Amino acid sequence: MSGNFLDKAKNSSSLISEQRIIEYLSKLDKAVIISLDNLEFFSNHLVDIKIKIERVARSDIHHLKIDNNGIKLHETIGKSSINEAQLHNLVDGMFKDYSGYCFIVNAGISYVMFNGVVDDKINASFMKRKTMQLLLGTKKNVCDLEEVFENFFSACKYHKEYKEYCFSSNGMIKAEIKEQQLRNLLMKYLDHNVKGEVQPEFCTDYYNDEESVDIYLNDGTHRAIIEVKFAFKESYYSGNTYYSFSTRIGDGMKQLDKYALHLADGRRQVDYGYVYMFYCNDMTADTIRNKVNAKYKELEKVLSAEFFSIYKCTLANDLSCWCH
Amino acid sequence: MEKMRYMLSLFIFALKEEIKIPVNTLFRYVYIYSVSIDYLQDLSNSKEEVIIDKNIGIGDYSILHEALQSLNETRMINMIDAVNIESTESLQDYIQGLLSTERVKHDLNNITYFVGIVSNYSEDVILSIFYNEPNVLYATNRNENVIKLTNNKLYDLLKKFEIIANNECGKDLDRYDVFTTWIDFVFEEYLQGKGIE
Repeated sequence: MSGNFLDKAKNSSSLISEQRIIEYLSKLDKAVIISLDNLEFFSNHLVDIKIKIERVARSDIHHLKIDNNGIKLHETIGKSSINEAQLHNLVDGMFKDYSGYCFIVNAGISYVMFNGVVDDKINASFMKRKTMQLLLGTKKNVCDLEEVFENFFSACKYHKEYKEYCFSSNGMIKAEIKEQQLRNLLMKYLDHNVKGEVQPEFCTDYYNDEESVDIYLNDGTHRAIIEVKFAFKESYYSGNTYYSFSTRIGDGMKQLDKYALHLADGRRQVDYGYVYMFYCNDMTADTIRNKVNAKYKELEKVLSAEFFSIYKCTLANDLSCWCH
Repeated sequence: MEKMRYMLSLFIFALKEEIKIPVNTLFRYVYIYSVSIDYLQDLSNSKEEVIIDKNIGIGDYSILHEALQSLNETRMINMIDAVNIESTESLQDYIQGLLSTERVKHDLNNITYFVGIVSNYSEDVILSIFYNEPNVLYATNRNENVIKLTNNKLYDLLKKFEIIANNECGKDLDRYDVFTTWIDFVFEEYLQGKGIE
């Protein structure tokens, strides 16, 4: 990774940090033009500049001139209600012959000028980064996982690559499809659709490497763990591991219980816990729901408080619905 | 703990425009700041050690948590919910009162500049920055949770980049430009991992 980073050196831009700072100052929702001969003046006096901007009138455009000692000049140069073109003309008129740096901040506009010229490269990279951050905003948070699970089920139903991955041409589930393959399928979808880190085999116990939950998600604010299970009826599966649906649901809940206890022991923060079941049998959706509820009721007395503190639900994904 | 309380209060002051401040993101800011300030301020031979919890992406959790509790008890912050806080007027008055001290102003200036850069990225990106910080990567690979800043790998990486960019490629980057370029690099790698190109 560090090698790739060093490769960026030839395309790097100066003023990139200042661009970020004016974006930060734009959150103050004031119209300001900051001029300075030396960039160090900006970093050395940022607190004074910020406090000054906080205290100027929102209705005007303010010009702050910064020198070695801080804010040398503060003048009002127009009304902040002017449109974008008028602002550019105002800045051009005042600073096109100025030898130094100008940072312009007003109502969603922020850009950098050096020696009277707008730095296109730095402004283009700023716009690109902003767009990317907006795109990232379309990914879901961990607290919205249930919506993502629904979307995943829709993707399984309507996108043929999921079926091709799991089914042979004779309509049977391939022998090589086991828990790990199904976990990877779900994990890849989550990684592309949920913010933050999505990790396989997250170790829940500091002292025992074997105690790993299938999927761990952390979006920076909330964390979730998912235990993946599968149960396929013999007539639909070319493999030779046949589990009872109810038994596997119970196994998933008990494993989640164990992980919840380990995590609590280690004072580790997890907010949500799920059991995710891939299945293929002849049972109706209602029967499946009843079986999940019955297993939950059966285990209710043996599951720990730590389990109930994180457990959200058990989800069941019926492979017989996939793209048939 | 007093040092951490002081540092946290400066961070929260620099973030006071935010409606809510996610606690873990705040803690990650403090970690990233701790490992990058040597480079940003061109300090060398830092004697500090940072303990990380690589599983939740946080440095010095217990000290940070204790410092945050102390700010809460003295009404410098409000806990909005289990994961978010907001600053109070008490904290703002307290910091404003300290600003006549050169040292405080210098520290706040550094932290404000740092916050000005990193607060442009969402919480998940900040988490990714933590996990991709060279000292964390090194500790994770060796299954360690103590980072000795006498051997600061982020410092070395940024310094190396600075030399290549400025001496070999004729750029004119200051230290904050180098730092921002690194953050952007991690951001781009994260986007690629999320299928956004």
